[in-house]
Amino acid sequence: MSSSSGTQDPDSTAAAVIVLTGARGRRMRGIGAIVRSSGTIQVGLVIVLTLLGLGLLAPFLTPYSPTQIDLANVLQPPSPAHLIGTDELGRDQLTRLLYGARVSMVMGFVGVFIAASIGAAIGLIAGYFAGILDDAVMRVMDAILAFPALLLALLVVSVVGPGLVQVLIAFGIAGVPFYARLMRTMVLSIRTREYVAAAEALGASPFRIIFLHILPNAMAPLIITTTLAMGLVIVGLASLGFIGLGAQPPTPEWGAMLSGSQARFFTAPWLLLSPGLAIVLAVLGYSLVGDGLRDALDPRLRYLRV
Amino acid sequence: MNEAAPLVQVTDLSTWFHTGSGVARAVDGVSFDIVGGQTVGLIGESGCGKSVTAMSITGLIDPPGRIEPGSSIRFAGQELVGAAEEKLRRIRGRQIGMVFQEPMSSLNPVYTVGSQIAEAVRAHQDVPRKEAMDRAVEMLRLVRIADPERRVRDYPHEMSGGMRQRVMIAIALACEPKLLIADEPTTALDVTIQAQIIALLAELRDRLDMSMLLITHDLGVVSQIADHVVVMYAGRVVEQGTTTEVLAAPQHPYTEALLKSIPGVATERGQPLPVIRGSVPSPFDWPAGCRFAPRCDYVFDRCAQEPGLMVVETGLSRCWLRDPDVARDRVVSGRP
Amino acid sequence: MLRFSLQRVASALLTAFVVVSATFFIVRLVPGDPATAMAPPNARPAQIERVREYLGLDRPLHEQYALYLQRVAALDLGTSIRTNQPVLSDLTARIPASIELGAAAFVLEILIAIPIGILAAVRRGSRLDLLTRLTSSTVVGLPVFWVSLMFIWIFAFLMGLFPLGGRLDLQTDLESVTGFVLIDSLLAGRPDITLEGLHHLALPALALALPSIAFWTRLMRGSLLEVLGEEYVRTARAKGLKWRTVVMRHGVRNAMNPMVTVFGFELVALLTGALLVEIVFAWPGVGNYIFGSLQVRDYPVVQGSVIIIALLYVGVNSLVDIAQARLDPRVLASMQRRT
Repeated sequence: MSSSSGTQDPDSTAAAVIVLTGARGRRMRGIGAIVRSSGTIQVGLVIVLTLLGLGLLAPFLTPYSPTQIDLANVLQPPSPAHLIGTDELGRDQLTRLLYGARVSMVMGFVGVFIAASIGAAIGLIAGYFAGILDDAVMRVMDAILAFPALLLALLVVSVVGPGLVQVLIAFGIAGVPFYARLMRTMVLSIRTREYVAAAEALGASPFRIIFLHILPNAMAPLIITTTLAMGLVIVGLASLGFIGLGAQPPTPEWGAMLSGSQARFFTAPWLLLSPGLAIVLAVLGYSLVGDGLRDALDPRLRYLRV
Repeated sequence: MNEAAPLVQVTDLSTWFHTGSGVARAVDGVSFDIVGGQTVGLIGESGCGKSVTAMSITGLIDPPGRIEPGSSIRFAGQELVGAAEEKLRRIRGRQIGMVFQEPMSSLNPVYTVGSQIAEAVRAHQDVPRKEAMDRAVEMLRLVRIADPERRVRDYPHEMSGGMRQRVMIAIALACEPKLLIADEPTTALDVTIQAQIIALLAELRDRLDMSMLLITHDLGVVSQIADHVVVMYAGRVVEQGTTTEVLAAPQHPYTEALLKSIPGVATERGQPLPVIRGSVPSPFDWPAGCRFAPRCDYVFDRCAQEPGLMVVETGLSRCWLRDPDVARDRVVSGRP
Repeated sequence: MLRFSLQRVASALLTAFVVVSATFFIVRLVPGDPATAMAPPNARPAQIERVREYLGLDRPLHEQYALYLQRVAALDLGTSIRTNQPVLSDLTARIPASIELGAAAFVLEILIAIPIGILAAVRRGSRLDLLTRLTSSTVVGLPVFWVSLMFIWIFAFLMGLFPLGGRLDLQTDLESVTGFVLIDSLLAGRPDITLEGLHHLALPALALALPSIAFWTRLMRGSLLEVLGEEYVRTARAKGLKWRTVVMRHGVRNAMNPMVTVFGFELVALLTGALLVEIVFAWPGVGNYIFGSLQVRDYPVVQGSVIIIALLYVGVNSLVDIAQARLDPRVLASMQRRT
């Protein structure tokens, strides 16, 4: 109820959101109103959408190719020709950053989206049909949860070899239990409400009930969790890239751009600062959106650590 | 007639909350006394400022609330308004005990009830832990909790609501205070438990020769236990007097309406319950003139101006109808 | 309480079993030849054959599984291709370094985050509070390896205040008794080495701790604020307790509960963070070892390490659960009802 339940607890999340979303499954305030009400969300959205846009439009924004090697212009400081300088192979840093946005922002988004969808589906089904199915599924979920995501990624990579897709899949697998548990709790709570019972009594099919009644109510915490997860995935991708897993050269990835000889970095600080700032900015953007949404919907969800 | 100075003298107490959306004048010029050994019942609907009055006495008003200058609260001869926090702290618990409304959440869930009572003792007396615990057992016995030696080690969630409230009373009385302030002590409890708690309070008051300020919206409770009654509405006192007299012959339309709204044995079935029409105004925006006027059955033109407290037979009343000049005019003009 | 603890331990063992088995199946079910993956990169066919035999790949699956479980139970996690030593002994040799780093970071977190969080809550709305909230929001999402790089760049490279990496200066010689530099140096009667060790420890520990400090500060503040609004705090004040006592004994005590829950996650963050920090600071711990193994495709090491770490994590989480039940009697009651 109060202090001790304000933690990583899908039950209180669910309870909190249900209180706010009213009987007919309509959110008490539309998305537009929520966004407009919170400066935090607005700033975050601006950041995120800008970075996404930059990533998507990368090819049109720069004359260079991210893999274009120019050994005559290695390690150049920022100049009009190369706004953020060049790296150790003479590639334009800005271009690599922009294409890196594609990897982190776009691919990351896709990965999280897929994981969230799968997790939500699992949670929905487990929660709605309950019984042995529910038990079995949740046990598997808990077992996966026992693995820290990074470790799981390491394990997967140690077996199937490194690569962007492999890492994204590993993070996806690690993330699915969060979404599944969340969805399941939401379903269990909503299921017992009167209007669902009424619909069932009227003979509505399970699909209809799920999509029309349960899903709309459960969207809010799912969106919040997904947003916060994005930040974590970006950092995770970067961390693995830094170690040399994840996206393989020559694909530019912000974390990978930071790995390698440290001495070089310290004499060419633009190479050190730019990818780092990009990562920080992306994470900040997503945190702002996630936190803002969470505060707007219910400050009680404050302790949700994904 | 007690010639000594009253234990508590509240004079012109105003507690306002300065928020971003305006100033809420929760308590707006309230005065009353509590004499030693006396029980004063403070009645009113929710939102009239009674709890804030109680919290003001012990100095537990947090910003943006503030006791406004010009207010005075004298306790045992000492001025509490503007007093140093340390001085107030020493009075809290030791001289003034408090019991609150929600027994379910007023006790810390991670400590045993015994340790919470003992804590109250040790806050003011330098007493070894064992002795404080013994005292806790004694207090549990005083509030009539069975098997106190065992119960003293229970956690709050292992006790019922009624028992927890008894523990709260035990905590409040642990240092034998001169004044007990009980803010809606029975509202959150079952009716049967309510009666027990009230009886307990009465008994303790007599045994310990304590004064009591009982805050409630329940006239039944007041009639059982209070000697004196103070009726509050919209941040002000609207009537005062001895309980028996006020309840028998209310001198203010609000008090009268409150009494009428209690369903009694004689109430006929099928008839709508009498209610006071309208609703309590917002403390951000008290009505001009008499604050009860919008809801009053006796309203007339004089009510556009706020009445002062008039002396009546039973005590005091804030109503133009009790002004001798007004009464005379009405007789002359033939109005009731 | 005892029954609950036993239940938790049993549950942990079950999870551990699932984890270990999952590792087994992942390797077997992935397309490609596990033997080739487990052998050194340029292994000759004879070597691969030996690996195949070792893994029992020519035997039926259930026999392989039994063999695998036996080995894990005996803590035989295979042999590192790189060092030719058993993975387990390699790990044990390097664990003290990682523990020293993690422990130092943890101490920093507690010492910094909790007091600041409490102050921010108690002085809500003040400049300190606002500053705390702003900085913690930004810092919490910073990637730990980038923070490490920045720290080295600014404090070691540019300002020369701290060493660039490693546990001790290259010339320093210290006999390893416990494996903990700070303890060994004191045992050897060389407090100057202790200081040197601390000097080297400072930057990596702080880098590792930083995002967590931000997180814990926010958590402490939020948790305490919520608790201070509870009715029992009002009761405590009405008793005439000193404000400091109210805050500490009633406020903080209850505010800690949600934090203990998150503690398990914190350990994970420390673990994975330590891995990255060790790489950047050339800290000779488990993380660095795994990294080195990854670079040369020494997969037995990676696999073995991951299993160990996952098992440790499961164990710690169980301890955390038990600790939380001990701290908050209500949790015990609800957990007992659920299981």
